[in-house]
Amino acid sequence: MEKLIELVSEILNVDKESINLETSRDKTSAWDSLNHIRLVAEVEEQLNIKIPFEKVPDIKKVGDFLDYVKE
Amino acid sequence: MDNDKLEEGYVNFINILELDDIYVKKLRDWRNQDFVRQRMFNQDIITEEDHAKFIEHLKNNREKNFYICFLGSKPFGVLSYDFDRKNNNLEFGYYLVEQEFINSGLGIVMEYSLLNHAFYDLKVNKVFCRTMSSNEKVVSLHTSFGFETEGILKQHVKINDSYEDITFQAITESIWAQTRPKIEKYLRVIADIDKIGTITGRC
Repeated sequence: MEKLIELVSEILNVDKESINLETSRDKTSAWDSLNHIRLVAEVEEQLNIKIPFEKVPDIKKVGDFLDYVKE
Repeated sequence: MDNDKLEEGYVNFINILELDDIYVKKLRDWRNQDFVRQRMFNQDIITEEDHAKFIEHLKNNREKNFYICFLGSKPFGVLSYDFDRKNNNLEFGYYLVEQEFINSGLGIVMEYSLLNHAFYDLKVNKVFCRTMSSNEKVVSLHTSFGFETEGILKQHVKINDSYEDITFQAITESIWAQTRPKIEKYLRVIADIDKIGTITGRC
């Protein structure tokens, strides 16, 4: 989870301390459309997971990534 | 409509005039959703009569095109453009048909395909768009694609009882050629690039 928070912090350029599993796309100004797919791309690569195309729009908060890590 | 076009994993742009009436009706429903209207210069509810006139106008104006965008068989957006043949420029706009799609990356697919169509099929000199300045994420997204802000139209539209600024942004082919690889690098998250269908104009 720490790695995930680090990635989110890096891509969105926000402090790690302000990010948690409930940090959401619709309430985070830096989490725009391009940053969303950058984030998915980096999480896939760094955490060695694959999120199906049709599920990418369903990632609405940081915690949603964990579903794929656990799987 | 040929349903074979709507295969899983493929992105397709289908002109509204080629789609069944059910999509013509859906287009009005999507356009009238609050979260869509709030980003439009004209925020009025579109009546059935208005919509019928609009569709007739499209039939008689080959340089104005509206597409419904599908990921697999699921519609996710509406993309439109006006091609000004005389000045060889093109204005575009798009919206997502479900609120949960906002900032999901699907808008990027539409913008990417539109720019390719404009510069490599229609061979326009310039593509531009006008966005409400308060819609900062979209203005920022266009900037990421290489659009330059050419000006702010101050207090240009009246929304309810207040006047809103409009940001005018434009891009040329040489700039798009530079930023396109960066967009493609990330686009693979949303769809295989070779599974993104082309936009077909009527011009």
